[in-house]
Amino acid sequence: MAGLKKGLKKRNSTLIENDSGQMIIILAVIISVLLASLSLLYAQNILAGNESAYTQLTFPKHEIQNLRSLVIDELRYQAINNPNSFTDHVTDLDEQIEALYASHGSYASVDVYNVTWSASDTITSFNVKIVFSNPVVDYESNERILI
Amino acid sequence: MQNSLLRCGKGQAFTLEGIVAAVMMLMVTYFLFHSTIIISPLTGESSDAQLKQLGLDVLTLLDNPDSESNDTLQNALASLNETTYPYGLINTLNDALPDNIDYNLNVIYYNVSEDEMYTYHVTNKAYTQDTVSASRYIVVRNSAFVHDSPFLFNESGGLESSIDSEFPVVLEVKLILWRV
Amino acid sequence: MDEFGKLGLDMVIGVSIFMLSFIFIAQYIPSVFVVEKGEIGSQPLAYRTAALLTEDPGYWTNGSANGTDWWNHTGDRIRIGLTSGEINVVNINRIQKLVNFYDNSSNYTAIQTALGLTPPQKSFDYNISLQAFTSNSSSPEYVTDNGEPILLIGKPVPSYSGVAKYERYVVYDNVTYYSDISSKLDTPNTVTYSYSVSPPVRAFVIVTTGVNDNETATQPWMQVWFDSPSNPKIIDVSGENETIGSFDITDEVNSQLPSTIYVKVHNVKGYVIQTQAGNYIGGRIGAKLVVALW
Repeated sequence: MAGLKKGLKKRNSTLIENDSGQMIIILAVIISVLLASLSLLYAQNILAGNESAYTQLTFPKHEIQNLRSLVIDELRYQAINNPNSFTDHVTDLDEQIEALYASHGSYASVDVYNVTWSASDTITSFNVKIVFSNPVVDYESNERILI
Repeated sequence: MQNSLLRCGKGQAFTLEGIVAAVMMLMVTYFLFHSTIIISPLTGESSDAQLKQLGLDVLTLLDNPDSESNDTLQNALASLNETTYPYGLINTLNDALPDNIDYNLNVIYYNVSEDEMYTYHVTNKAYTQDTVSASRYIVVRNSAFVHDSPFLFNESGGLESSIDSEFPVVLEVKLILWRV
Repeated sequence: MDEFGKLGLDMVIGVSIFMLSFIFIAQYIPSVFVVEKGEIGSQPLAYRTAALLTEDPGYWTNGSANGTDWWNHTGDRIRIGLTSGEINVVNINRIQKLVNFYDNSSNYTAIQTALGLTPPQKSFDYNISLQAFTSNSSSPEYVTDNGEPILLIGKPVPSYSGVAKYERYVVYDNVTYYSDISSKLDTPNTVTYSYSVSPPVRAFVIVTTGVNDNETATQPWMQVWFDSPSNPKIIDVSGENETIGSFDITDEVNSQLPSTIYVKVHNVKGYVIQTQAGNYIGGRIGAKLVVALW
């Protein structure tokens, strides 16, 4: 209370010379700093919502699903119906897929290996490697398809 | 110092201090929490994400090579040429998409021997600023196209000499959507 | 030393003004966070729930065994899904099992857990339904079978904002299951089939898959008209190229509102469907799965 008494005694002097602790103002400054950091948290909260919306827009889940079902269905058809030109058709498919996906800024390719033949010149199984890559995601799958 | 507070003309430092402190805290709160620089996600990108998903879903449902319905992507694009407009596909798109959404439909394909990408515009409406695109890739065999289809691949040569009726043509069906 | 405690009046006033504003701010800040968190958190959650239902067949596990027939193991930890493998194609059996599971009392919270709608802070209320493509949130049109909505579970959607909604388009894995009329066309000769309808309908489709097995010599043809033979023909096709295909006459039925539809065919094989379960899209019946969370 000494400072308080001093302040009371010095009431005649100006505010500026009264330097006995202004606790209230100091508390207010501290609380304002705390509020500023809370607002940072608040902004992060809102951004979190934006980030997940952005991810929904950009994650290539659909491209990868589309690529896989397209490739596997078409390769299965070509293996059953046109076994003799199978590898040629795979190359044709691969070229078009590479070019079309490249125009979207992604890399996609199809590769077939380990083709096994039966005695009557039909394909019985093959391995397919599907690769998809864009700045966000790298995807590679190796599958064995049995006819 | 006179007895009555009201007649005392000297500044009450503590009262002033309290008022200044309160005003300062309230101003800080107001400025920090009411600034609307950040757009609420409900009106911004998340509605774009929903629009893109709708486009992808519609294209996925229309990608049905086993059906003979004339609005599937395979059937509509196989029978498309300069004179035949894919009415079935366009009608289905109009019915399936909500009324407040308009779209353009393009087909993008790659000519292997020329090493060129081409875009065929099925519809040609004017765009707005805020568009979202949804693409689906389909495969149609060369023999399914009508004889004057723009997608028919009948050049020979190129890297492979296997241009025959079973040649798999990859088409990118691109739906560009916007709200009206 | 002064033994009389003096408390300056103006310090009391200053401190009380400060405390008032501090208390106001302290109770205001949490309410700002709570409102935003609820709205922000529910939008990705609605997306995730809709994606789970339309892209995943579901899953159950009891620690040692697992499988995808979640409706048989509702006592274990389950995840609900509606497809049976193909994405965006819903399995009718699973839809019915979900409706049965919900209709048993007190399974509202079990479904919340199975869909992951009980994150640490807050349990979300849900409303999941299958609606027609043309339905919107102000006037929802549920797809029905025999008058009953095919899928409508959860509490009614409240009218205040803060409801996160996500929609996905799906098709059923069986075209004829939910149809009011599902009849075969199969004749090598000429037959006139008649169907009585009560429009508006969601889909009325005639699908011819080929010529009849028994007689392949003559050209197939088909004529379709409403009510009286003197009315203009809705469909008049002949020859294999024109006749074999699918004919969606839903728009004509809904605009001309006939009471009877006549289908006269020669040498075809196919079927006729009329359904309220969805719209005809790409050769299948489709609807919109709407997930609303709040």
